[in-house]
Amino acid sequence: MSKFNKGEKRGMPELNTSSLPDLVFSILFFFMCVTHMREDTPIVKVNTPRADQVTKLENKSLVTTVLIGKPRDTRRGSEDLIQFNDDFLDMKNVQATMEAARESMKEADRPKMQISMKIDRNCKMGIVTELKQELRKAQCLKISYAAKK
Amino acid sequence: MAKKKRKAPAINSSSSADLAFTLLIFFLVVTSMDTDEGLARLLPRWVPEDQIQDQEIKKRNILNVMVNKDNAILVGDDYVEGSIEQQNEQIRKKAIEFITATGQFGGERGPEMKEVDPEKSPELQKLIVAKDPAVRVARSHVISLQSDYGTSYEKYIQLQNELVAAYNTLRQEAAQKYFQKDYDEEVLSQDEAKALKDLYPMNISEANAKY
Repeated sequence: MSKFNKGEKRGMPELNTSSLPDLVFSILFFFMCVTHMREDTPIVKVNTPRADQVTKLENKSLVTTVLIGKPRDTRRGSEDLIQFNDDFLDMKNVQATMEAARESMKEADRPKMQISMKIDRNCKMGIVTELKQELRKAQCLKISYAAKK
Repeated sequence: MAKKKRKAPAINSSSSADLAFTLLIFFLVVTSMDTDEGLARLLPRWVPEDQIQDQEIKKRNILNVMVNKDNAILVGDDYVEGSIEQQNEQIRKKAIEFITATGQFGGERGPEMKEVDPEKSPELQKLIVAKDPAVRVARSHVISLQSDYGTSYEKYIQLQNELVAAYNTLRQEAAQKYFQKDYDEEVLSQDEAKALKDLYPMNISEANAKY
């Protein structure tokens, strides 16, 4: 009887999903650009200490990461070891390895090379200090102690 | 008799959304958004042992911060005790007093406060000294952080962090006082940030661990 209801039951109009793939693709591209795959799987256990004055490392391509912690593989003992690029690094090879790492960078970037030291909170300072000495010998003077907020 | 040109049938693209979703989820899982954070430091240049020269630094310009293998902390002449929060507060307070030569480090016992050198830090001269000519800078002060081979790394970072916090607190105060802004590189102009850094230059020396 009502003027407006034409009697015929109107269904909900179907939502046009033809632009959905475009939408999803744009999000996909965003994540593809942002992603950088983790290159090295940690073979030492690292739980970085807390600090509230941390600063962000500016440019990822300038950063070389060194890890120190107890090895995950218990057969390697329970002494703190250094990890660099998927493998353990002996203290006496640090200098040569760091110099090689710098050689592999672009020439313009070499002076800006930065070492991020991810060190487990239960480490002793002995190994850290030795590493710092070796880094000084290799002329890698910009370092950063990785820490969580 | 020309045949009507047959149109190629449209490809059904309804599944491309599913395809994209699958890829999207893969990248979502793989992505690590976390940017590395840390306390940035500059190590001193390596000098071969036969060329080491003892740098003359006046005793009053050095604040010794030591932490031994039992993680006991000594700042200046006093032990720092208590809970971690209490320790942090004391370290920060002492560092601030030292850098500004106030409190127990006032006068002759604190570092030398020098006038600003307009050639070395023109930004500081222009932006701060022009407003407040009484500004003095503890240019040659050094905070010497010494650790032991047995010191735990966590303790060491706690100290490093508190010392950086002392500088940041001072710079924040100065930023509020002179520029009415927060000490944040994104808020301040380059010159202002440089001026604040010159006003409270960060000199933390990481001496070699002792055996």
